[in-house]
Amino acid sequence: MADDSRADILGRLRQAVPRQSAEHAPHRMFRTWQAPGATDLQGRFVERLEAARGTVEKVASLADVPAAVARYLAGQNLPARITVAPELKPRLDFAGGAVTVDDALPVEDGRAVLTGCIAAVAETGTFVAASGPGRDPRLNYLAETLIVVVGAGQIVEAYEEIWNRLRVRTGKEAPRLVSFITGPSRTADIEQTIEWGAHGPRRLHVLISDETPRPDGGRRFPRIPPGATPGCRAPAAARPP
Amino acid sequence: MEVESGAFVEKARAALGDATLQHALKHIKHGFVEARATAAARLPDFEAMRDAARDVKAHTIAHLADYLEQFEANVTALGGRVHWARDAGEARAIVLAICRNAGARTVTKSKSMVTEEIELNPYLEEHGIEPIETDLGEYIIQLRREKPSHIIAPVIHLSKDQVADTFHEHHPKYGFHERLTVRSDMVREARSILRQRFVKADVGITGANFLVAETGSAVVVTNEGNADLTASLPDTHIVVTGIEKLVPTLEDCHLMLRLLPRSATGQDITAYISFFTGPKRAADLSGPSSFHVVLLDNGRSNMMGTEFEEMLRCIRCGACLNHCPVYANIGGHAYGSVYPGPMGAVLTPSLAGIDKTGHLPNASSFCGRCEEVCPVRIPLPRMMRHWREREFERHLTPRGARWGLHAWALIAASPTVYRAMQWTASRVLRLVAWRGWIRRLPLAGSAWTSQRDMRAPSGDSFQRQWRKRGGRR
Repeated sequence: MADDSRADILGRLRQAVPRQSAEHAPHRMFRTWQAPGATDLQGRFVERLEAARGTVEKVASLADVPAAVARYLAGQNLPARITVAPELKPRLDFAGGAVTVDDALPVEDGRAVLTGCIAAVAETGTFVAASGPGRDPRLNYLAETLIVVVGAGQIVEAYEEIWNRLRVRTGKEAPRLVSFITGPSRTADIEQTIEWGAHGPRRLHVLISDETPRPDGGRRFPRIPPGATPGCRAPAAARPP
Repeated sequence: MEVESGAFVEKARAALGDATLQHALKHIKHGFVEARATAAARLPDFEAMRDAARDVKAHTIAHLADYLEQFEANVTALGGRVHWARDAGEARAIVLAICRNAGARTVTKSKSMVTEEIELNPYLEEHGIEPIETDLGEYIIQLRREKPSHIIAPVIHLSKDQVADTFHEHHPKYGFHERLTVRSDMVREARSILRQRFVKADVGITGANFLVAETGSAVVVTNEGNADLTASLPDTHIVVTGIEKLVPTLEDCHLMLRLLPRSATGQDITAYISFFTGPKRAADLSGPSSFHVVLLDNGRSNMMGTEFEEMLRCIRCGACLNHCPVYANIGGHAYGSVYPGPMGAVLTPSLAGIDKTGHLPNASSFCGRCEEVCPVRIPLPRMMRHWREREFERHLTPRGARWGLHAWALIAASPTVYRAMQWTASRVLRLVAWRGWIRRLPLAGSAWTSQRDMRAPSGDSFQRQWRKRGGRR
């Protein structure tokens, strides 16, 4: 039955003469904000993140993160306890500070999580989480308070650059999960009025660090020049003869 | 797919007289229409992006079989499985088999219109598996045993008080006995209940807003983060979606993703956009070990090569619903289909058959706003007109309307008869008018004047004025 269904569906699609058949045009980078060619990626990132109800604090280095976390939790009247994402744990020293580090998965109400990201996008104030060795992206969705460390050098202009960064197209497969996250979780289902913390974080705080918490350092990703077609290709079979 | 469009006229009338519904529908203007206009105005290339999105989807649909095979090959290479379902029954059976194989008792679901289309929840319940909707709106209608009334805002027809009653009725079994009336408290209570359900679920079912051929990724867009919990916590992730959701590349997908939220809710981006690609890898710390994609046809492939092919471009943003004067006045339930509004008026007859979906292509004033705001420029009014033609050809149009249309055809085909009829009609109408208004008309005209007054014709007809000016402006 299963094979029949596959053959039937593909057969019907191939049999029909399409009425519309535009070419697969090369990908075009459109201007996505009013100041094309803007170079202040960090400024844009902060502006858009704040517009999405995120908050931002700048720190000079990773060594300053534990104190910034303690200050933020205290400022929000939250308990001085936090779950630290596995990729950040070896890089941060919470010993002797005011905050207790928690190890259990934060499934119950009210938990705070400190996590990193693989990149951030200036376009919309977005940070990008991904699965992979030593990372547990579930933490991003379970936390009620989420604090994210973003390296200043991790901020790129547009979403497309993330995939180049992951080198998905040079034969490397995409990670199981790549998640673009912008501001706290929200819902407007009841009378179209926004409420925060629908399932994920009620508050999202970003620490922009001049030092990037990744082994490959603060290296900037290659920018996509306007009009370029970054490795975007239709499969051979789909190209018109 | 269950369709109850036969009762459209009665349901629409009831909706117009429903004060609670009318109050709830007022939120559309500020919540969606104005928000979309603002978001579109902020993007300098918004119109050019719509052209590009239309072209990407048109190309994909024309080569859909190839892209589907490429998608399947990529999912399979990573250890995932793609299942093909000709109709709703096959899709339901596939999902049930996967759930049983996983030994599932409860299944969390993030919002998916395709699972509404195939009526998955009642089927799973009948077979002893409890589906739990986790999108707040879908959760509410699941408790109320209703269908969604909007493709992106399922409970837009409900007031806060109705939701409060629903929670008060259903939440005592979780230890919550107080009737909450503050929205944030209500959201917090639902979150707390659903969190426990998330943690215990055996299988997670999501839809997909897009499928990316070049990577085998399923892309899901939410504001709540519920799709991410649905897909990340259980050991099995099932994606149930339509075959038309393909885009060739990741870049194409981001073009669509820049248009979807702006067209839908006026957001530049939703809080969560997640690309799910295959099952958990050996070195991953978390994630499902089993990844399935169920591709549903259910009438879609039959649209290829017909005048409804362009409907396959639809990305389900809901902009056409939000901007439709008919939808804004009667809400979604009157349409009797899980796909309401202009997109539903075109899609539902394609999926369920025009013989079962009478009235839907007529539920439009043809004002054209749906086409004006469609991010992939689907000519919705033209397609509704095609359905009206098919209805007429197949003698599905009511007798009175058929006679009227025949009579109109006779009059309109002859300029002399048309002018004579028009001259007579305008004289008669002016005679029965009082102070420029007509309160009541007999026969077919009574349908109009039973709801509103009609303006009396004034001055000359357009044709006469045109002739008098010698055919110039």
